[in-house]
Amino acid sequence: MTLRITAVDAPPGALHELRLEVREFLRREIAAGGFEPEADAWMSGVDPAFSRRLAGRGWVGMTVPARYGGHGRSALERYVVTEELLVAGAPVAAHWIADRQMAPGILRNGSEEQKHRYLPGIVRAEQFMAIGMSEPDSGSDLASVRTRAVEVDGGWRLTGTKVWTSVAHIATAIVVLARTDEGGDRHSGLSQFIVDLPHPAVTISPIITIDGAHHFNEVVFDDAVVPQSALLGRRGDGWRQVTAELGNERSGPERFLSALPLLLAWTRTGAFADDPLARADLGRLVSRLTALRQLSLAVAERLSAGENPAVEAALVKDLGTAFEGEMVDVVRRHVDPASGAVPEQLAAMLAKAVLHVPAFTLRGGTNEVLRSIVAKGLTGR
Amino acid sequence: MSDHLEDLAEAVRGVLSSRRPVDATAPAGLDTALWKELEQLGFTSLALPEELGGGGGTVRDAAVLVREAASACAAVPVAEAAFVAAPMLAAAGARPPNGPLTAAPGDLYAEPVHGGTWRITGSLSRVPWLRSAGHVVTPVTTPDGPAVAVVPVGHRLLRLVEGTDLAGEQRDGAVLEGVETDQVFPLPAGTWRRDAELYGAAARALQMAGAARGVLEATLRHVGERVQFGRPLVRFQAVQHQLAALAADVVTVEVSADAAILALLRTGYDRELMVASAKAEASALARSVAAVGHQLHGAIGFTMEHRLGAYTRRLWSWRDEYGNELYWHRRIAELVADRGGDVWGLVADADRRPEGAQVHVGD
Repeated sequence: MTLRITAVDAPPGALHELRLEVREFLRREIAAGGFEPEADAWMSGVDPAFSRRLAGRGWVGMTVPARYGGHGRSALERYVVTEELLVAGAPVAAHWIADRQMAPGILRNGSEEQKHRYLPGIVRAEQFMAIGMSEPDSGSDLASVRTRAVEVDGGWRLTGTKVWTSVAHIATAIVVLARTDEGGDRHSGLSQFIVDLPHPAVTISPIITIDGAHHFNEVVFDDAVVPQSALLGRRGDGWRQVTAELGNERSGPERFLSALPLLLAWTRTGAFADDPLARADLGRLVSRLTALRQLSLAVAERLSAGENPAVEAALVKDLGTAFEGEMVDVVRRHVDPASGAVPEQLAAMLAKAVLHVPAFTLRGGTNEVLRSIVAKGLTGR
Repeated sequence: MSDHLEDLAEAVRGVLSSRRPVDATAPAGLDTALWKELEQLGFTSLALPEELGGGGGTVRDAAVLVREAASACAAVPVAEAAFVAAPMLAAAGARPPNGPLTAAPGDLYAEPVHGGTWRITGSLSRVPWLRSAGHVVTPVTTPDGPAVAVVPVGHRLLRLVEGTDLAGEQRDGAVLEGVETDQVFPLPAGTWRRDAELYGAAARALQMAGAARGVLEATLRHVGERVQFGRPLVRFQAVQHQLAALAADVVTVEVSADAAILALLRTGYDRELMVASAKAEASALARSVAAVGHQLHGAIGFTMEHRLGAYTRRLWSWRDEYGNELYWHRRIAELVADRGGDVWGLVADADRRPEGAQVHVGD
């Protein structure tokens, strides 16, 4: 395979009107105290009320077709809105996974009944979804999941434990990857289920991360019985379905823009302007940002054309997430707390960002796994 | 890539097929036979308007030519002809001279003497294949404003200072002590020196994309064939991860160069950022691309008999030409400062004129 990515032939200012509309909305939100900008808020900024205000503007579930309550907008339009939300550091975590991954997943694999049942709620930001993939003994090696789904009278019985499950504590449903069949290779016999929450046999408990916050959960399925209709897509097709979602999960702008609110908080102070070293560092970051955005846009275009550029998406995420960590470190180096001239908001944002950096290159597939995917794609092995 | 560009690439590859490097030996000089062939087929004047005897192509067409020539390590100044000379000649309505031509921005002054003759003084530095070219196309300052000069290299008052770059290609300086020519053409008011630099940087980014792809392809082949500890190198995870990093860097250089060309084609406000990013990424990543290529090739890649060096030596030369990464990083910081620190406005709305931004006038 020849790994090639071609730049998108669209000016960066395409859809400028939409971009300005989103910016104005966010500016008003901040001015009215609707939210405080944060780095990495797509993971940690859980604010259902904000999500609903956003949905009120038609900016959640944008690409969902109108017949399922959506707005039928293009992938590029969604991309523009997503960028602006990330750059503003808006609290989008509540609806993020539903919007990014589960709406496309349900559209691709779901039954008509599932589409009508979940998509309109996702679009209104009333349905928040979590994804149950990793387990205590299955991190990067996702195919080793041990959560089991056994067919019982009228449905399925799920048993097992999921971890690192973002927003499960506020989610109205969780999509679970479970083993339904033994035998065959380890990628077969997996299936996806949509489990409505709360559920009497599902226990959700917080896992506190090193920033002291509650983003992650442990989700225990203790013989949780779900109806037949909970199966998403085809039995045994879970691995294919999950990996198809990864293109969406891995190449989006959140893989290189997580720390941008921090960079902007620093550059807007103007402190870089008279410092040659700061200028050189800033120029390096902006050069890289420009390049990574071109890569991400190119993959987004292929996704919207119906391709599954999994290898390219892995490559973009590897580069983008390493870059995010570098961005935090560059800002840290140039923001000297001893100078006494650091705005309080910048200092607080920086402290939080530093504590988030380790997650950048872990979530959504560790960068080591991503590099193996890229190498396999290159060599066909 | 569109069918038209694919066809063009195919045609250029056809001409270049006999030139692909077999080892890392420096070319003997300008490949005049190749230039002649490219000239006869219209490739060297591809990006000039038809009324000036050119092919009427766009900067995108020219980009295909330059990238292919770089992939083949061809010793012809097509990047100079298509990216530095062509825009100025087109703007001045001047026809290109026959025979090999090179181009470079320099520090030159032209004054009219008599009957349409001009006298040019000043200096040029590190011009590709200057000693082997018939003419050098360069922006000059005249009492009436900017102009482009087509300077005959053989003129007795042009003193050559011969040199070579890290790839062994000719990079010659010149001192002009009153070279007389009638080939000086006024240009409309504009930032010609800055533009020549921008187009030159875009061309180098494209060339580096071509050479970086050459490193990746050579490396992929080598790790598939070379057996150590009973298995091909590619079966080692440590090697796989190096390959992935190499591919990521190569693709970054390629996409940035593509994007720079598209921005030049649109002639929007974003062209400076996009070219700056393309050249900065290419220059910065040249180190890691060459490093992984050499590391995975082992000692054989470090020898003159292996062609890996043909690509890496060019990367090391080109990364410093038309601004290294630090130069362009600083330029980007200037763009950010012009926007009052609004990094995102620069990146996302770059093709729009910033409100209250400084507009650079003159050179």
